[in-house]
Amino acid sequence: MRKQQKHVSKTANPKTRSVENSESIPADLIFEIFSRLTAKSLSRFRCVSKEWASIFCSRNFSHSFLTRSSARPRLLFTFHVDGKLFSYSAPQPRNPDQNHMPIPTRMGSFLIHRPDSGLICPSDMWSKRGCNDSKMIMICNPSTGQFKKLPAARTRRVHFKSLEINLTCSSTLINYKGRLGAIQFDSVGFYSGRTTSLGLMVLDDAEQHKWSKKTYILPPFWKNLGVDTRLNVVGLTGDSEIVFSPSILSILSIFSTTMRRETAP
Amino acid sequence: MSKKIIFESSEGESFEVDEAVALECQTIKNMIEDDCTDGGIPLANVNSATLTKVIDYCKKHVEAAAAAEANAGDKDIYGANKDIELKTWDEEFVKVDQPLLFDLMLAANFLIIPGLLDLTCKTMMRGKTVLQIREIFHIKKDYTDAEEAEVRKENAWAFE
Repeated sequence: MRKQQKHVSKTANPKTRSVENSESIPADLIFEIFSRLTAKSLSRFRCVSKEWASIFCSRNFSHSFLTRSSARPRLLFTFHVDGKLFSYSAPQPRNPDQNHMPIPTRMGSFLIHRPDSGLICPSDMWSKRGCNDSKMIMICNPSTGQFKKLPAARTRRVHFKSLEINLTCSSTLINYKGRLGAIQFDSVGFYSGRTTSLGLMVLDDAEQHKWSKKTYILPPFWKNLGVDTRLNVVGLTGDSEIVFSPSILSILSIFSTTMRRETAP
Repeated sequence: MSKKIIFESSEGESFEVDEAVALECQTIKNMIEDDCTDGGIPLANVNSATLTKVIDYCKKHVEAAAAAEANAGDKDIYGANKDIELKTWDEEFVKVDQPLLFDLMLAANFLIIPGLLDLTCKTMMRGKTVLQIREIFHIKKDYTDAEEAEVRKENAWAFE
């Protein structure tokens, strides 16, 4: 090992190296750099050269980029103010105020559906209420600020099977690892600092109506929320974290808790 | 008394560090495990200025890890570690000129220091314009002006 290193020594004069070093960047290091670029930087640096653009657009590169970015999921939440859609994600980018985009709307009455894979889907509530226009549903990418109108969907008749759930108190339905789950509330109907545990019913077998119940102990910081904070369940992240948000949004705070600490059912 | 490891820079200067600090470098860790560090480790492609910085970085991160372990119970109410201080230190650490940043990145890649590699790679590109990037990487523009304008237009959101 030492011999090898001695061998490469004195190859470059330290003074000239500073100027020329960029030309001698090993290819693996270039990829280390590329792999850390954000989507925005990647788009910007497509203008550097044709070679860079073709690397960034290659199937391999975009595949590995998607794999990496889905490994660190973020919370995406949106606000709709004065015909503009503000989207924020946590952990926050450096300039969160830049992340907003205007939505073409006459009334500003948009219903924002739950985001999926970083895309959001606002639909026009106004036309839903019986306007002559066809329903306008869009797909927006908050990172790029681009949006596309979805073509009118063809409808077809489907048959739903009804499923009876026998729950003792109010609950929120969630997608729990591909199965139907119901997060149960205690008698007051919401979560607060007083709540100590969380009940989850998971549908194991739809045919047999078989449910399993899990109970999770809430983390110790939960009691710091105070009894006045009313929390509703917003949904579940890809990492099975339950996201709560206060029912009154004076200052936005979102709490998430990982379902780890399990007690015996 | 902890074991010492001696590094030798490309100029032949010796640097003595605690073994714990040297272990931050995966390459050196492997050498220590193979027991081939006696008489110093020559780092022919790392100069003294860079090596000084690299050792600073490793020292700081070893100390921070030890402190974090000692205060393991000292977490805020959301369960997050108080690592803001270290992040600020990192940011200050990479406020260096471009050639030194480059050398640090090469050293982090060669010595395999994941944290430093991550830090330097990100800093290298952060807030740079297309022109600056061409300059840093010695890339000749192969777009015609019209072609470049077209690519810029397609990616206009990224220039806002």
